[in-house]
Amino acid sequence: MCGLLCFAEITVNKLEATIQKRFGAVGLKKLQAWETLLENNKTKTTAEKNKAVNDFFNKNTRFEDDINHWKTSDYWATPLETLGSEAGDCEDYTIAKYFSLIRLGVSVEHLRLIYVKAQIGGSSSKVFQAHMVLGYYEQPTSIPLILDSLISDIQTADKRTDLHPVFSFNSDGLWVGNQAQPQIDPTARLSRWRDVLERMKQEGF
Amino acid sequence: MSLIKQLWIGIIVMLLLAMGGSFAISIISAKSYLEEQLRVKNIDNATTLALSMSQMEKDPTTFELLISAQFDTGHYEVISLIDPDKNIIVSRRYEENKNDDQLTRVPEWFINLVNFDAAPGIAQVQDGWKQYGILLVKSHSRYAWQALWKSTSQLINWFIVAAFISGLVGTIILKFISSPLNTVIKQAEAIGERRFVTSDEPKTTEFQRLVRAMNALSQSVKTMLEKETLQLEKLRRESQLDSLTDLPNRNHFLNLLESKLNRDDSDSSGVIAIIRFLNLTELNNRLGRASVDLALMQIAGVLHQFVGHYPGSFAGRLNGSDFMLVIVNNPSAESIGAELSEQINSQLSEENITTIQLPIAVCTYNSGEKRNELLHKLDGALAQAELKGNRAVVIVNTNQQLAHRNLADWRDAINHALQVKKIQLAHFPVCNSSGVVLHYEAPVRLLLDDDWQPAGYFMPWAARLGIMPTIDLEVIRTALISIEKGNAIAVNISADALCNALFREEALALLNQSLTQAKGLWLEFPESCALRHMAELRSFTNALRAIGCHVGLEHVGLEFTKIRELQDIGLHYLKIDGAIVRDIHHNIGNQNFLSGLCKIGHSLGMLMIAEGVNSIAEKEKLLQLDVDGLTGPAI
Repeated sequence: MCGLLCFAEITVNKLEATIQKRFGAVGLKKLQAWETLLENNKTKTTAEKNKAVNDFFNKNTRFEDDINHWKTSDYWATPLETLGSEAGDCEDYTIAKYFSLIRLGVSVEHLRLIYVKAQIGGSSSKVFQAHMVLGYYEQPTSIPLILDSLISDIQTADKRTDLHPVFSFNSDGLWVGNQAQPQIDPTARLSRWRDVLERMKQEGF
Repeated sequence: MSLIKQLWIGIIVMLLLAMGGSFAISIISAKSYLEEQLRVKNIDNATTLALSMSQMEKDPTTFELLISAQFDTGHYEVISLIDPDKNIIVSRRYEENKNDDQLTRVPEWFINLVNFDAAPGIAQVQDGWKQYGILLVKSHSRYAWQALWKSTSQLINWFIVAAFISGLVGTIILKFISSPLNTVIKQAEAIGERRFVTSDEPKTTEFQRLVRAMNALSQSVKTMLEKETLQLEKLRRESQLDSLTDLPNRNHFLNLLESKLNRDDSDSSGVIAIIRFLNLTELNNRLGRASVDLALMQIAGVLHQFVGHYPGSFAGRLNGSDFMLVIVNNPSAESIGAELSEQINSQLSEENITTIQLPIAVCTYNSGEKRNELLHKLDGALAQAELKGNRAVVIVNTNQQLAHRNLADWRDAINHALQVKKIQLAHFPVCNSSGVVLHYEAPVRLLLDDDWQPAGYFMPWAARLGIMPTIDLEVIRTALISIEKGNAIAVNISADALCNALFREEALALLNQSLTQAKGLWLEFPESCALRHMAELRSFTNALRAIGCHVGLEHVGLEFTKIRELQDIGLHYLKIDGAIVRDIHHNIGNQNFLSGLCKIGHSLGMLMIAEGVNSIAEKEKLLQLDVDGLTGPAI
């Protein structure tokens, strides 16, 4: 038990060291705020956890396109980068929320990162945009709750008529939290999703 | 453990390290590469399939067809679609087929040893907002196994080839390293046996230094020997030679003659001639000393020519006017007399000194004849020649009427004696200073003409017939039998035999058959062999030493100072000619010579043995001069 606590301590320290180095004191403050959030919600109900995490990132993160933010057409930021830079696009929100919930003890099988087609500007609009949200499945067969960066409330999927699901995925089979020895796997970098997972390992997740 | 063995172990360990290391690394890296490739394929295929399924009508039949199509056309171990409640909707799994080609099978032990497993790819299939199921895709790893096994077995094959080549190269390298080593060892051993040989310097630096040091040692021994020999030659000239003509002086000549007459071998019979410068005093007064000296030197020059022409022969100047010539081994006194007369006449007429009266007497001698009787006989003949006047030649042929008249008869008689083993060895003791017998000198006797005949009786004929090697081989055989009874035996081997390759071969074979007895055998060769047959003597001596025989030279002293490279033959002993030993207690010159000889011999680790010791006085003087062994009538 003591060993586990010590280990948790070390990983937090590594995260802090990483963010301090990359984003300075501001980044560190954000990280500490995030850590406090996780600490406070550890024993809460799942609904409360969802709401806390969703609110935290929706409030603290500015939406910004990758091309402006990271100078790349498409960049999947790690939660640390999203926290530190205080900005991100839809997948960055989704990834940050996904891993925050996993940190709070929510099981992987309840969570899905979902590619959706978003209808912008009302039900009659013809403007569609590629978007990503986080889905929370209470039961494997139930309708998911949607944690979205476009709106602040968490709603069930059937209420979200502006979103059309295309494909979902999670880190099942790819991500084992708290891996002691991150494996350097060169091919992982070729997949954006595995790339994020690899970089997170290196940052100390 | 030998150096070569250690080097081999080093090479093998290095090879195992290098090959084993690269082998392990290549297997491990190939394994992780293949594992990763399979995993990427699993993930990608799972995602692609799940993506298409998510967009389709959720109809189990269609999904089954889709999964079957993917499975059947691809290389998969399993593709499963599992619903959110963990129930299998569709699953296809590869079943191991007994008919799978045996050749493509990978050995079980290899699979167990390397043991890799690529994680399956997992992807979600979505039905609108709802989860439809989880897709699990795992590629068949047999292809990876086969690839890994193939590359591994290729690597093993290459390593076998490489090990073979390394072995070959290693052998060559070791040979290269060890061949100079063998030279060094051989030289060191030779020096240990007091054979001061020099070797070519090897290319390897360390060996080079070693060989250089040993060569320097050998060289210094050689230099010392040359210096001593030079000194000895000076002594010999002073004590044994006439200063004007360089011929042996009276004393030395008579010693040589006596030694020849007493000798028991092929040189024991021959022709002796005397030449007298009759009107020496008169010409001295008339022409002056210089002209007469010139004439004397011309006569001496002719005698030197004879000595050079007939091996074993010798000449001397007995006093101012008398010269003598001994030609061994030539029974024809007439031809020698004629040749001598003709040569001297032509020499003197060339120089227009025709007034010299020069009577010549020639007579034959045989072994065992008394010196004084022989000289008396010769004096008589010379008196006749003087009576005849001017340059008359008188020949006295005293050759015994021998039982065997011609060569063919001799050949038959000697061969018969050898065939029926009518061969004996006489035994004359050779003792050291305290009287202990070193060995028995054993000259050969053959039963000819109903009597045991000494070597002098038949050897001149045997030598002319070329059957000396046969006799010497028989002598060795007889000696080996005799040694079985106890004492060490020394036998004489002729120069003819030494130069006969077949004899050397047969003698070594014979000695190798009875190695124990061979250790008690001493073989001695005439001194002249070291001058004229050095190569044969050296190689035969080496072979005999290896067997354990003692090897030496006999009748040493007369030509000793001409011998070169005595230091690297490796002889055990020298027997000093009786001519030097004779009356040693009166002859200061010979004492000095003998003392120098002993010094050289001892520095090369040889025993010095005096031949023909006739009296107690001689014996005592010889022991004072540091001689190690003695033989002769007084012993």
